[in-house]
Amino acid sequence: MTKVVTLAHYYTIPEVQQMADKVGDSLQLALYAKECNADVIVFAGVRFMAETAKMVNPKARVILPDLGSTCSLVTMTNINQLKKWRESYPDHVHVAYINSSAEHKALADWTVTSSNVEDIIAHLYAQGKKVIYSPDRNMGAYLNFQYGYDMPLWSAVCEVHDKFNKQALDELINSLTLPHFLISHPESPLPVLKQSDYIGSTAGLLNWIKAYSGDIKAVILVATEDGILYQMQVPGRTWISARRQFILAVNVIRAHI
Amino acid sequence: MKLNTVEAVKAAQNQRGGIEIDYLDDEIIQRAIIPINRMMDFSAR
Repeated sequence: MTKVVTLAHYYTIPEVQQMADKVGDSLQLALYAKECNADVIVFAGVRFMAETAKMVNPKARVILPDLGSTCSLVTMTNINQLKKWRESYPDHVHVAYINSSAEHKALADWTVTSSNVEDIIAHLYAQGKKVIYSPDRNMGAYLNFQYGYDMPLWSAVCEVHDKFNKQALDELINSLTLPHFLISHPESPLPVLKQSDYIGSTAGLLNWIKAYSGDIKAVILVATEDGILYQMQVPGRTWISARRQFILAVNVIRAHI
Repeated sequence: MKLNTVEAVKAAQNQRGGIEIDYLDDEIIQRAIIPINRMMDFSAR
């Protein structure tokens, strides 16, 4: 009998997350895809995630539910130009965010996810390496700012995260009468990240919410794709009204785009 | 991600829809898997 395993990213809609055998971020799903004993992997995510699953588990048939499911980090990157850019830094290590095509990864020395990017780049700098970073300009700018790196950056963005902007955020925060926190994914623009109380991967954002023990009335502003809000419901805690605030916050930020 | 509808995922689970990732060039896979494995080994430490 054919064993079908369904993987879903945290950013998918709640109904799809409920259909999945495993829900996770990019790193968690890649590791699961490698180890799962599946004949068929249905990957509810974007195309580059399904491609990574196929590469780490070549024996499984990997199916992407919709071919059009992609990301601007991929569509904004011309591979021939990337190759020239990479060749212009022959003494650098090329670190590529996993949100990139297979052809892009083939030009890299390391891939990283938002869960391990800080550790891996710190590891490379500790070895005295020089690093170039692609394709996410926002994440690279954050790493350069936060750690004082001088990494040359490729210039693509995730269009969902890049739309969060400081002006809309300031307007929103100024309108709030309740205490608030801003937690952000590092694909967001640097001015938003500089204002954030916490910056982390999707799994990191979830862990922050689960560990949160402050004022239950506080408004938690979440700067990432809203599919993650489903996972932010914490059983046993009165999060219903707070969750409305999450959604409100995200929608308000987007409404100013 | 929004294109991953319930209907599309169900069709893929029943192998009656979606696209199979079977188009990657072997040479690309051989090169791309190196940085991926490097990352996975690092994260497994």
